[in-house]
Amino acid sequence: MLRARRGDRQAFRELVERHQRGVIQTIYRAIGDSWEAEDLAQRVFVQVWRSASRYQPTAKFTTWLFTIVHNVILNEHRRRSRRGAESLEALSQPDEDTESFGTQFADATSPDPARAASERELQARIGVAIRQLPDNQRTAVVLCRFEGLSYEEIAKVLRCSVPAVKSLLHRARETLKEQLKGCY
Amino acid sequence: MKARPEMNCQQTKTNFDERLDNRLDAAQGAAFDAHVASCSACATEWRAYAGMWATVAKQVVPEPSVGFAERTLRRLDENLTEHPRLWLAPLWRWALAGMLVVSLSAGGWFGWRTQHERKADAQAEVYVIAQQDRLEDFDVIATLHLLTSDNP
Repeated sequence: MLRARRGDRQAFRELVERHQRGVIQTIYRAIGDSWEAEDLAQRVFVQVWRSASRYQPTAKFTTWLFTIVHNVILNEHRRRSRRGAESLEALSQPDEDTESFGTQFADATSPDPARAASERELQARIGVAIRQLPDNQRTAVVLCRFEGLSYEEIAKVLRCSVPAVKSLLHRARETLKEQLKGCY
Repeated sequence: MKARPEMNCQQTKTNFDERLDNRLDAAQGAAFDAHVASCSACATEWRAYAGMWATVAKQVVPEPSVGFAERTLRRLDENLTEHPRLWLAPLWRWALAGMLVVSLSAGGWFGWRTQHERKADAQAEVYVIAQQDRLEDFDVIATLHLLTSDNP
């Protein structure tokens, strides 16, 4: 990052390649659309380049990166809610491309197609339930469960305390339990 | 002999995520497991919670498409061309903000003044009409008076 900060494009390219997976998948889990996730991930990296001068080497890069990711997701949610109910509905629907890819993948690996189908259905339901969580709860869950960030790092991303992160995760669990009644 | 820490249902549920990620220390982990082993309600909830994340972990999520990094660098170039960095210079921003404040203030003052003048004009018009009405009334009275004086 320090090299990229000095305008080294090759270093920036390496940075993109190293973090693209985590950024795209985090956005995908919040948005539910793979194309949109890539578009927003590009916006995140453009923002990283532009804000590079403001990056303090004392802060861990991933914490700083996921702060930008969180803000981009928040903006996208605000934009979608301004656009109205149609977009919000799309937000809660699983991405067809990824779902069909998941279908092929699961069918190829699972010995029992019926079981694989019900597992996919459950995964889709959980995915929708996660996307419908309030912004901070969703970010805390995604960063904790999928990106493996520590509570301290999540607290920095969300600009709150560690007990607040624990509280967010607890509330998210209660919400998910309510949303997934019957399968959780 | 060192007392073994204990957890109640509330503490156990609060530590679900820590246990799932092995973030509890040895003593806390042992207390968590002991509680789950002795409380069927917490055990059921813990199994369901751990099971849910195990299911999600198997889900296929999109990988970055081929050439993502190149496209990102291209987009960066386009973005920098569209919005030259000079535009971000604080001096320009302050100058723009100042101009905006001045023009908004001038517009607001002019608008207030115009509205004020319009109100004054309307009041003057009402006054003139009232005066005309009074004069007309006076004419009518004068005419009646003349008529009555012509025919005593």
